[in-house]
Amino acid sequence: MTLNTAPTASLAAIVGHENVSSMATEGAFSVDGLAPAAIASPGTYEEVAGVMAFASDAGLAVIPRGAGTSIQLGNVPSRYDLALSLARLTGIVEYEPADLTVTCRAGTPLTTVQDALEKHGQTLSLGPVPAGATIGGILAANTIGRYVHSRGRPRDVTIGLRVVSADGRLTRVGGKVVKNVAGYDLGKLYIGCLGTLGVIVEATFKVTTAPATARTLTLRFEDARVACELAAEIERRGLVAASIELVQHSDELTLAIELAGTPNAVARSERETLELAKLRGGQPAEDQASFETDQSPLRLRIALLPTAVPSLVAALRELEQPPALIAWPTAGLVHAGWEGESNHLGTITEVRAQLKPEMSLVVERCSAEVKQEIDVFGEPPPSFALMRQIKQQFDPNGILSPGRFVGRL
Amino acid sequence: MAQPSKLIRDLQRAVGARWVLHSPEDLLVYEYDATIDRGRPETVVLPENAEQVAASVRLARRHGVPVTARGAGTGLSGGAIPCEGGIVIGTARMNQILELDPLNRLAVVDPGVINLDITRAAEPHGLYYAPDPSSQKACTIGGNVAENAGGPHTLRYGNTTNHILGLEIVTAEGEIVELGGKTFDQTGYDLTGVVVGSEGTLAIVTKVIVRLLHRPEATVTLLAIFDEIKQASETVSAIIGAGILPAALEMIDKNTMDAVEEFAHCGYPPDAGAALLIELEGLREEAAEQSDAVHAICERGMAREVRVGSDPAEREKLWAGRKSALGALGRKAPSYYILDGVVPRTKLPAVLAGVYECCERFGFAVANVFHAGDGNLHPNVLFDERVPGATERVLELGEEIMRLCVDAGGSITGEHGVGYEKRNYMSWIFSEGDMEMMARLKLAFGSAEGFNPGKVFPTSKGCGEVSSRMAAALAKVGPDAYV
Repeated sequence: MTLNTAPTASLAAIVGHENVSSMATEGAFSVDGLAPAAIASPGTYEEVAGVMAFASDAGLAVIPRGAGTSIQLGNVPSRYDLALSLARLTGIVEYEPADLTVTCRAGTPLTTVQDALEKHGQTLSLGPVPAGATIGGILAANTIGRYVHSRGRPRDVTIGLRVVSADGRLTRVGGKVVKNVAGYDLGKLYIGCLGTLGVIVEATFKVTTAPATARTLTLRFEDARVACELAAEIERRGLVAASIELVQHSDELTLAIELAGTPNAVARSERETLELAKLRGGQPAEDQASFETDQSPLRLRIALLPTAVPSLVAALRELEQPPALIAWPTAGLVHAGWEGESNHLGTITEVRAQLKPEMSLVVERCSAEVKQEIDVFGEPPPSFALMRQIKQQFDPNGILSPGRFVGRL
Repeated sequence: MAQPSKLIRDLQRAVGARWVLHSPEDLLVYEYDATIDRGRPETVVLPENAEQVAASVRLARRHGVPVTARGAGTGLSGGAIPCEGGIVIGTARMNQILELDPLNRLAVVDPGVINLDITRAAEPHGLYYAPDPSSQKACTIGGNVAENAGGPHTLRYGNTTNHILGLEIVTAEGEIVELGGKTFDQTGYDLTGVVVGSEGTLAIVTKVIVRLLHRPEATVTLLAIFDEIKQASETVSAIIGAGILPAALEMIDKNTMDAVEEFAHCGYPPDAGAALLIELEGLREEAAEQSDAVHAICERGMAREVRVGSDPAEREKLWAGRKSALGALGRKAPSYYILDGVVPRTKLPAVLAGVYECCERFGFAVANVFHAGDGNLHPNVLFDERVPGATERVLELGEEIMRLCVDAGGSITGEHGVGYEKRNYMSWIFSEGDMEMMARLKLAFGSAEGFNPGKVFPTSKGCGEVSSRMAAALAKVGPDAYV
C-alpha cells in the first residue's frame, strides 16, 4: 500500500512534523531495493508505541532500524511501508558502575556506551562492530563479535529489555539485576529476531571491568589446522585470551590473539602462546583487516563445531574463487567474504553444498537480485513450526519486518 | 483394590505397567519437593525415552489431565508439584550421558542426569559443567533447565541458561522437537533460550546439550571474618568496585555461623558478625594477584581474620561451613522458610539491614547465607510451624522481604523460580502487558494449562491439597534442604 497524506499527518501528530518524512527517494532507508513510503523518527518510547499502534491499525508494514549497518541481513521484505528510525532514541538511561550494569536507549551507538563505561574502567562485552552500529541494531541482528571467545554472545550479557510490541504496547522483560529468573525470558526471543517480533527500545546489560593489560599477538601460519590447534591449546590452558581470530586474505593466513588480564597473567600467556606458536611454525605478522571493517559485497556466516573449522576452511580455499575468511575458531564461527559483484548465487550454492550436519549458513550480504531468489537463512530448522506460531502470536497482522526472517516469517 | 482407571491402563500400555505408579503409597513421595507445597498426582509415569514421554503427553491430552515433569524434586519453588493433579512424568529412568565431546566442549545428556555427574564424566578431560546449585549432588539437569538454576559460581559464569546449547522437547501436542543444536549460533528464534527457565510450563525437556568449561588452572579460596555484617557487605562492594570478579562471593551471617559451629565446628569465632567466602579462579598468576588484592581489601574493610586456602583440602575446609549451613539451621528451629530475592549490588547493605529489621519486627530469627556478589539474598526465617499462626506470619514476612527487594529495583527470584509460591508477586515487577506477551508465548507452544498448571502466573487458585496460599512454600527442616 502507499501512504497518502492522511497517514503522514497521523504520524506527524505522534512524533512531530519534523520527525516524519516521505522523502525516501535518496534510498537511505531502502531495504533490498524497496523504499518505504514514510520514515518516522520517534523521540520517546511512548512515541514508538504510538507509531506501532497506528501502523497496526492502518496495516502498515514497519521495519525498525538503527544505524543500518546490518540492514542487509535478512530476506527481502514482503512489504515495506514505514521505516521506524530509532536514531533519535539515544543516551544512557542509568549507569551505576558499582552495580556493573548499564541501561541505554536502543538508538545509542555501542561506541557511546563503551566511552561512558571506559571512564570507570569498565566495558560491555559486545562488538567490535561496524562504526555507528547501535545497541538496538546489534541486539536485533544478534551481532556476535570476536570477544565471543571469552565473554559470550549478546544474549549472555543482556539482562533486561523494553520492547514495543507490534500492536504498540510498551513492555518489559527481565530487569536490572544481574541474576533474575522471574517469568519467561522473552529477551532471548527478541535478541536476534531481526525486528520481526517487537521493537527493542531499551536494553540493560551486565558490564565487566576492563582488563588491566591487553596486547595482541598476530602470527602467520601455513595451515589453518595448525592455527586452530594453537587456538584450542590456548583455550585448554586457560591463557587469558579475550579473542582469537583467524584471518585469511589471499594467501596470508594469520591468527590474532588478544591477550587481556592482569599484567602477570598476560605476560605468561604471551610467553606460552609464543612458545606454542613456535613449535607449530607460527611467524610474527602484521594485523589484518577485521570483521568490523569488512565490506565484502557477498558474505556468508557459517556456524559449526570448533573441530570442524579447519576442514571447512580448507574446503573454502579449494573453491574456484576462494573467499577472504574471518573466523573465531574456538566458538565455531566462520565469515567468508567475496569481493566481486558477480556469480553470488553460484558461490552460495557451492558453499551450501559443502555443509555437513551441525553446520548452518546465513547469507549476511549478497546482491539484491540474488536475494530475491534465495532464503538467506537456508532450510528452516526442525522447530520452524514453533517459530511460526510465535510470530503469529507476537505479530498477528504480520506488520513487523514481514518476510525478512527465517522461512520468510 | 479398585480397577485402575482408563488413563492408567492406557499409560501402562504405553510405557509398561511396571513404570506407572498409582497406589497411594507409591504416589506419596511424588506429592512434594523441597518446599512443602503438596499436590497428589493421579499417577506417576517413569518413561525411559522421549517417545514414551510423548506417548504419555498425548494420553494426558486425550484424557484432559495436566502433566507435571519432575526431576529429583529438590526445587525450592514448588515446580515439581502437581498442583492440579494429573500425571507426573518422572525423568529418573532417563539418566544417561549420551555423548561427551571434549574437543568441542559439550555433552548431550538425558534430562534425569544428575548435575554433578556431568562434571564427574567431564573431569578426566579437564572439563566441568559450571552451574552448581547447592543441590548438585541430587538435582537433575532437566530440573535445572526448567528453573534456570544458579549456584555460588553464577557470579562469574551465569545461570543455567548461559550453558545450554540445545534441547530436545516434547510439546503439548506430544511431538518431539529439537531446539538449537551443538553450535554457538543457531538459525531462527532462540527457542532454547525461552524454554530454559519456563518452569515446565511450555514443554517437557527430553534431552539437553550442555556446554562444558575447562577447569581453571588455579583456585584460591579466602574466608574473611568480620565483627560487623556492615563491614562484610561494604567489603563485597569494595571487591566488585575494585574490578575483581570472583568466581564466587558468599556471605555467611552470625546466626548461620552460630548454627554451623554448634555441630560442624568450622572455627567461626563466637563473637564474629559475618564472614565472606571468596573464590578466585584463573591462571596461577591471576588467582594469586587477585587473592592478594582481595586480601588487602578485606583488611581495609576491617576483617579481623582472613584465611586462605589454595589446595583442595584447605579449600574444602573453608567451604565446609557454607555447605553445611542449611543442615545446621535445621537444628536451630523446627522449620525454616528459604527466601530468594535479588537486589542491585549497591543496595545490598541497605536491604540486608531491612531484612533484619523486618524479622525483628515479626519476632522471628533469621539466618542469612547467600550469594552476595551478585546481590542474590537467601534469608532463612526460623520458626515453629506448630505454633498457631506462625506459618501465616512467616509468609507475611516473606512477602515484606520480597517487597524490599522489588522496591530496591530487584527481582522476586534469582535462581529458585517463581513456581507456585511467588506467582502472585509477578505483578510487582511485570505489568499486565508484559505478562500478556508471556501468555502469548505459552499460546504459541500450545501448552495452555496442559503443562504444570498453576505455576509462574498470578491466579487465585490454590495448589493441590494446600488449602491456603499461606501454607505454601515452607521448607521442612533437615539436612536434605538446599539453597
